[in-house]
Amino acid sequence: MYTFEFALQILVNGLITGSIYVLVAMGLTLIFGILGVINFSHGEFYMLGGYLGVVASSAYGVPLLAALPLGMAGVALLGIAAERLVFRPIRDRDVTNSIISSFGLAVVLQNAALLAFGPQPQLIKTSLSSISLSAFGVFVTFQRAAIPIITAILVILFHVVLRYTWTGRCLRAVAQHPTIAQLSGVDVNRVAVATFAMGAALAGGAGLMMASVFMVQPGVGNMITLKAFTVVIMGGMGNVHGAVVAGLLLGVAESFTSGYLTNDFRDIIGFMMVIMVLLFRPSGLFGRAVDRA
Amino acid sequence: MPLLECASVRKQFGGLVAIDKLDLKIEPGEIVGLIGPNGSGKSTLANLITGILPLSAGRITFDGQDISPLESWKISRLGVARTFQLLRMFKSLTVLENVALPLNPRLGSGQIGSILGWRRAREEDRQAAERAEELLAFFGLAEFRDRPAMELSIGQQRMMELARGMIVDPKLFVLDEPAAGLAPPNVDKVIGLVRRMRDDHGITILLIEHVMRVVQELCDRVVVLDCGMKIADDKPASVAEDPKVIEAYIGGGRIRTRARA
Amino acid sequence: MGRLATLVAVLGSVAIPFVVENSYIVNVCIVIFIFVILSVGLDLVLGYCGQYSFAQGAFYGIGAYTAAILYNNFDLSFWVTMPAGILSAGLFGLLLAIPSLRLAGHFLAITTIAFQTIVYLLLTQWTELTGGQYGLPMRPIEPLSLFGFEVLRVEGTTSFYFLAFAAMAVAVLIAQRLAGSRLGAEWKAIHDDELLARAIGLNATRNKIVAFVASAALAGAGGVLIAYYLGSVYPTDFSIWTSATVVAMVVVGGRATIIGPIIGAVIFTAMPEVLRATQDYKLIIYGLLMILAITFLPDGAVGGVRRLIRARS
Repeated sequence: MYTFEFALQILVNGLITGSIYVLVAMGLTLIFGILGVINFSHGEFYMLGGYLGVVASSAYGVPLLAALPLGMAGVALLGIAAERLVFRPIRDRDVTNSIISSFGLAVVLQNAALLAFGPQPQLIKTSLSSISLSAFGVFVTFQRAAIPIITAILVILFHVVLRYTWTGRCLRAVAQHPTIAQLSGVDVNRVAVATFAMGAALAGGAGLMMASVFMVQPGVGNMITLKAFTVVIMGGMGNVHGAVVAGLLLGVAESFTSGYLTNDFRDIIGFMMVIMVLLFRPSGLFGRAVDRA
Repeated sequence: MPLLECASVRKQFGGLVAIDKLDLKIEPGEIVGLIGPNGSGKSTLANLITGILPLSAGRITFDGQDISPLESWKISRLGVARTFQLLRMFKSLTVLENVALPLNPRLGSGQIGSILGWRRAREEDRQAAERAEELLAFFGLAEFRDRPAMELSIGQQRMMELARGMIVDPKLFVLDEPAAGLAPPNVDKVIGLVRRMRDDHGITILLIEHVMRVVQELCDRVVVLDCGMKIADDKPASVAEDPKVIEAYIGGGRIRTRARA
Repeated sequence: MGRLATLVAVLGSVAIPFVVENSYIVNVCIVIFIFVILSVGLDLVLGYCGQYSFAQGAFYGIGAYTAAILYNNFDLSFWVTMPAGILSAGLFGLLLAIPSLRLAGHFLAITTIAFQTIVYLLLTQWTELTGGQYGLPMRPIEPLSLFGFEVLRVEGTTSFYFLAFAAMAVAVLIAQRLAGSRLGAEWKAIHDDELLARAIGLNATRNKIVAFVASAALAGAGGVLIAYYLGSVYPTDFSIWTSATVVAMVVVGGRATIIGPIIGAVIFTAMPEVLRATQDYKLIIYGLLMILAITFLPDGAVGGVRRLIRARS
C-alpha cells in the first residue's frame, strides 16, 4: 500500500475531487466576498446542474461535452432568479437573514428535485466511461481525467473575465471597496446578478461533471455547500486565487486522509482544517481584512 | 506624583510608526490639551492610554500603576473614562440605561445578585438610576431619560457621552474632540461643562481638540503632536506662537522629516 | 396585561392533555416545549448578545447523546443523565465560546457552522461510541427514588407532557432572569458596540462566554428530553438543518425578546404538521414560508406586532 504508485493515485484522485471543490468555491467566494451573502443553497446549484445533465443526456441524448455549457447556462438562470427573488429584498440586512432565507431556498430546491426526479440516485451515462487512461501506474477514467482539465479551462476563462471585462472589473471593485465602487458608478444590482449567475454556473458545471462520475441525488448539495464554505474561508473571503489553491488542498487532504488513515475521517478533515485557519489566520491563508470582535 | 505618565511610548502598525518616543506627564487637576495636524497620532495616543490598542514599546503609568499591558475594561475600572471622536452609544438602550451602564462593574452584588433578584441588587440598581438621573439633569437631558438613545440630536448625544463618562467619578477623563460637529452655542456649553468637571469635581482632563477656541479657553497646558512626536508642551499662549507648531500646521515650505520605522 | 396572558397560557397548556382527545396534539406540544427550550436558549447568545451561533443543533445532540451513552454504557437513570447532559453541553459551549472572543460577523457564523458539522460528523462516524447512522436506543424515564422510596414516576404521554412543560417553564424562567438582569443589559451593550462596552469597564469576554455556555446548557437539556421522548437518538435529528431551524425560530419570532422564540418555536414546529395535508409539497411550502417570513418580518413577529400597534396609535 505504501508505494509510490499508490501515493500518486491518491494524489490524482485528490486533484480531481479538489477541482470540483475549486469550481464550487470560486463562485461562492465571490457571492460571499462581494455580496456578503452566506448562501446555504449554493450546493443546490451543484445538484441541479447534475440533474440538468441527466435530463439532457437521457431524455434528449445530448452528448456530455455539449450538455456541460447547456447545464451551466440553465443553472446560471436559476442563480439569477434566486438573486432577484430571494436575496435582493434582504440585501442590506445582517447575515442571519441570508442564512435563513438561503436555507429556506435550499429546502425548496431539494424537495422540488425530490418531487421531480425521485429519491433514487441517477447517473449521466456516457460512452466515454469505457475509456480509461493510465500512466505511471495511475488509473483514471476519461471523464474523471477531464474534470481537472475542464476546471482549468473554466478557471482561466473566469480569470480572463474578471481581469479584462468591464463586468469583471466591477466585481473586483465591489469586492475591494463597495462604497467607492458605487460612487464610481458601478451598478450594484448588475454586479449582484452577474455574481450569482457566474457562481451558480460554476457550481452547476461541477455538479454536471460529477453526475457522470458519481451519482446525483436530491440531497447531494448539503455536504457540498458546507465544504465549499470551508474552502472559501481557507482561501480567503472573496479571494478567487485562494479558492483555487484551497480547493485543491482540500481535495488532496481528503484523499490522503481517506487513503492512509480511515475513510471515516474523510469529511471531517476539512472542517478541522477550517477551524485551525479560523483560529490562527482568520483572513485565510491568502486573505484580506477580517471581521474582528 | 503625576496622575498619568507616558514614558518613551511607541506605537507601530506594521511598517508605519504612528507614535514615537513620546513622553507626557499629566498632574492631578490639570486640563491638558492635545493638538496636532490630522494624522499626528492624537487619537492613537488616546487609544493607547485607554487600552484600546496595545503599546509597541514604552510604558504608561496611571495613578502609580503600570497600565501598559492592561485591556480597556480594566483601565476603565481603575478610573479612566473617555469619549470618542466618532460618537459611540448603545443604540438599543435608553438614554438613562446608556448613562447608568458604566456603574455595573462597581455594584457590589454583581451579576449574580441581579440574576437572583436579591433585594440588595435592586436597591443598588435604584441608586444607580438615581445617580444617572442627577447627571442627566446636570447635562440638561433629564426629560429624555426613557427615550432610545438614537433619538437624541448630535449635541444631546455628546452630552450623553459626557454624562456616561462622569457617572463613574473618573480620575482621568479623556475627551476626544467633544466639540466636533457642534454649533457655537453648544461649544460654549461644552466649555462650561468641562470647566465645571474639573473645578467642582476635581476630574483631570486630557482634551483632544481641533477647535482652537476650546483649547485656548480651557487648557492649562497644551501638548502638540506632529507625525507621532511631541513638538511642544507649554501654556496655550506660548504654543500658539511656537514656530515649530506653526510650521507643523501650515508648513514652512520645507520637507518635513517623518518618524521612520 | 402580560401577566394575565401568561397565566392564561399556562393554565391552557396545563389543561390540554385533559381536554384534548387527540393524543397527536399532545405529542406535538411536547416537541414544541422542547424546541422552546432550544430557541429561548439560542436567543440569549444570538438575540441579546448578538453572537452568531449556528451550533444549537450540536449542543442539542451533545445533550441527547450524553444521556444515551451514559444509559447504554453505565445504565444510569434519567435523573443522572439529565444533569450530565446539561453539563456536557455547557462544557462544549465553553469550547465554542473561545473563537467568539476573536471573531465576529460572518467569520463567527462560519466557525459555529464548522463546529456544528464536526459534531454531526463525529456522531455519524464514531460508531463505537455513538452507534453511527444506526444511533442508540433509550429506555423510558426511570422512576425517581430517594432513600428507597419512589418519589416520582413519569410514564406515558401525559406524564411526559407535564415533565416537558415543567422543563420549558424552568428554561423560560432562567432565560428571563438572565435577560432581565445586569448581565442581559451588558449583553445588549456588547451586541450594540463591543468596543464601547469594554471602554466603559464591562468584561465582554466573560459575558460572551456565559452567553454561549447558558445557551448550550439549555440546548443540552432539550436534547436529553428528546432522547427519552423518542426512545432513541439518531444523528439526523441534530444536524445543521436543526440549527438553522432554531435560528429561524429566534429570528422570525423576534430577537432579544422572550416571547419571540416561543412564537417561533410554535410556528416552525407546528408548520410541518399543519402542512401535513399537502404531503409531497409540505416541505416546499415550509421553505417558501421561511423565505417569506424572513423577508417581510425583519424584526420578527414581535417586531411586526409592535409596528402594527405603533401605526395604530
